Amino acid sequence: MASLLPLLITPVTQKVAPIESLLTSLLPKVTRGPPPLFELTTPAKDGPECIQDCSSCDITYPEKFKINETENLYGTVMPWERHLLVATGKANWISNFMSEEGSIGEAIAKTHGHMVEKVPQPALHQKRDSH
Amino acid sequence: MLSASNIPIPDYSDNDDSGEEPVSSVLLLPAFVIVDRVTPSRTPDLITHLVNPSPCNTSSLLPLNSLSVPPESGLKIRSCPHDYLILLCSHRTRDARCGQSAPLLKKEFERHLRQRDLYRDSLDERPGGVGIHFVSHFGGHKFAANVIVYRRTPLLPHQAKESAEGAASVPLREAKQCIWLARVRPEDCENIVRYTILQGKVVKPNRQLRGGFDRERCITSW
Repeated sequence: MASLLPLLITPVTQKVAPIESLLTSLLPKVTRGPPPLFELTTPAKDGPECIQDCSSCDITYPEKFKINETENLYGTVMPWERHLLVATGKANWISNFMSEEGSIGEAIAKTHGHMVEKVPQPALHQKRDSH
Repeated sequence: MLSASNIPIPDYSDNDDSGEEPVSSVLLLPAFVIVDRVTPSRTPDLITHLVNPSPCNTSSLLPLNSLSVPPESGLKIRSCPHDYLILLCSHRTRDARCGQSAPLLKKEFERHLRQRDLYRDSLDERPGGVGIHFVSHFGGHKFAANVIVYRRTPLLPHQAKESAEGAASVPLREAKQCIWLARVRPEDCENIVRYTILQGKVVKPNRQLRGGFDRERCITSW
């Protein structure tokens, strides 16, 4: 019986397959999933300026300014719940400012670890995979 | 996420009760609230009374949210004066490219924002407009320049009288969106102001969008 099963099933799938492919080719392709994370600009809605870089900009990066131009970017940020910005009045921070002894940054980093409540993910919350 | 910023340390000399400790302010997001008189010994109160009860990126936007802090904590709170924030990674001891790109982008953003009377320098606390701050490393410097845009909800009637400095309780006008871009170049700044900051739209999604959140629609990139 087991050896007969493939024979019984195969002709059926062969008959159905052309009908299925005919139907899918006639129907518009339906994609399901969450909407894009943000609205995107389009020339029709936002004017031709949205596809043109600024022409009056005379600032350029140094020639040696090289970055990764090819790797996929979307989704490369770690989840975060809140953002705390400590006013320091400067921008010449040491490599890890949270290790600066006696600083507010160090105190928050130490306190933060054991006092921040874990936030439950709301039921409505969706993840947007890509644009 | 915890960042150092170049926001000036406010002058608290009128009523300095911090003793020998360093004292400064902390901008809390997405609440858009500035906590004043933070010292290392007051950080447990900061976390318990303000950070933990404050809204987060994945919580719904509620129009009547507010925050308060007990006076005995020594902490004060006020609403951030700006409607939008641009955060530029400028941590040159982590990556030279961030140290190079941030001042150049700031200059170019500033040029476009001034034309629209939206520019606010670090001491300009006129309501509305865009605050631009340098912040410490937040990851992904191989995709420099990283630019984080926070966009706030519009002002509602009951929030029209925004709190004066030092109020015990402030009504919240929170960030509704955060749009995290990378590979930003000076020639992108004009359209980022025009479309991303002012309208919440992304101009170059494939090349520049790293992620973010939209709290009105409860969507994140993670």
